[in-house]
Amino acid sequence: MDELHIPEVGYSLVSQFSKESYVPVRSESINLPKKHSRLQHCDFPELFEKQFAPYFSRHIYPYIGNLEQQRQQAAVISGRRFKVSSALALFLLIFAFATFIYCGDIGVDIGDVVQGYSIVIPALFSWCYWPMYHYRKNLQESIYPKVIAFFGDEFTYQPEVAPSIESYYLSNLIPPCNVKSTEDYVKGNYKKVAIESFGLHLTRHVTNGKHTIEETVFRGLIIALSLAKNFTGKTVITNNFKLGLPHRLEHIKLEDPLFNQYYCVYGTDQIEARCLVTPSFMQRLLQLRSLFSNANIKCIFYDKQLSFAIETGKSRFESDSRFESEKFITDVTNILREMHLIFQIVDVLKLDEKTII
Amino acid sequence: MVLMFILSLFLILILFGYSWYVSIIRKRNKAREALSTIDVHLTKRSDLIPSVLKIAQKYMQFEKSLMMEITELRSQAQQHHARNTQVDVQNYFATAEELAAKLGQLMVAVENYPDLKSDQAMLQAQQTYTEVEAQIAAARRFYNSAVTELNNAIEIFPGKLIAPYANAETMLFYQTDSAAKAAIDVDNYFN
Repeated sequence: MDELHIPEVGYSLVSQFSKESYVPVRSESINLPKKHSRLQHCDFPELFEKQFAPYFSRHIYPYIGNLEQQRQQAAVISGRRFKVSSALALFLLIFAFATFIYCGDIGVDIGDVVQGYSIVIPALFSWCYWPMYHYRKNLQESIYPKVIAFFGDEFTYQPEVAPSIESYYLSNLIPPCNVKSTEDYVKGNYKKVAIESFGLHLTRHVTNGKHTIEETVFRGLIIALSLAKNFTGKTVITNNFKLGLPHRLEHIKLEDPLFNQYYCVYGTDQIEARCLVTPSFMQRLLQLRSLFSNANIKCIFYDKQLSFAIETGKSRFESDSRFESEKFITDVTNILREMHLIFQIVDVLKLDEKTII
Repeated sequence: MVLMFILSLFLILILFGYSWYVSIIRKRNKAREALSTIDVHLTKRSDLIPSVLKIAQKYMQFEKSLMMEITELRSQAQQHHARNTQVDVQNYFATAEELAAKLGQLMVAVENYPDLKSDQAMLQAQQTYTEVEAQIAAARRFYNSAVTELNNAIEIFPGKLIAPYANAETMLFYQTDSAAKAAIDVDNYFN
């Protein structure tokens, strides 16, 4: 794998996100090799995304050919394995029936057969999926660190890091669970505001009669901003009551009817909540909702942290289909828009400024 | 049977009236609480004024009259204002808004004094001023929201009949001053 090159230009572009007067770098002004001509400006329609176009062409596009080859190979192998597995599963099923019909007295119990199947089928599925899993891992290690590096030296992408989620339980951002798994951890700083985000999957054991099954209680994205400000109270903005009802918090009626249609605000301090949930912030929250395809969102201002739980229902950075050819434009623009919105939230709330009062 | 029906109806009406009465009292108290919250934040602004003026007077020789006006308005605002009637509340808001307008003028005038503008203490004071103003705006929104609920409870039937028993009357909204809402003559800024 080629060594990751972090350009110096990245951070300065990020710092310009909040300025309205910046002039986007036009990729036409950069002499791109002919093989990069497939990349179109229309792939990055937004102004801030246009700045990313030359970076994409220079640092990410060269890897795409190789990755596409890997994806195709993995898809072929997975396909072959799927055919073999299907045949094997069918054979085992016929064999099991034949055993029951013709050799009913050999002492094999139907429960044992079902149990055997419950082991064999997931094993076969894992075997089929393994090449695609390997491809995704490769993708994580080669593409996403480069995309995240665009936001500056301080931004790092660590797919294997498992961050602590204790503080999110304590602030009631996420519900209690039995099992958790984290992925795609991104950490960085924007205007001295520490940003942490990662994919999270929480499940709990539910007993239904004799059986205990695992039920997903949350699957999505956690974004946390650590601030210089210390909030005196607690403010919760939510449209996801599955993640827990706000206890001992007062309902705060805001004036924006569109915002009220999608979100409810609760808090311990009416004034602080109104200071935080300004019309600009409401606008950002509505944008965040549409960015994540109308996903349920819970947002909490508590202690020195502003945290979001966005229930996307899928893994972070997950492509729609790994069986179709792609240029990663969708994945990359989603990351860009997500980060751009986070930076806008920092700017709107002036989270970098320490409260003097 | 008819008597029972009449008694039940009467009981229901009494319960309905009582719950409306309780709701009016709750809303009135909420509006009063919101009004006192505004008071807290206006006091914060008042407390900030001496330090702003102290920093400013070193540099702003030509704004003495404006500073005098601010000092005068501040002392007016600090005097006890009765808030029992609508006129009292209106006067209270009017003084606060006049002071806010003058302070706003001072903050704009700071732009004409580069030394003052870059003064660290002034920068901090400006940041604090912005935060206090944001809190006053939030308190105002809270107050207006509480007043809307109270006024609705009083003005919607049978609120008007019950309100006198709850010793409640409609309250005035806290509106920004007319100067802030006036149209801006853009030409003045480009001359």
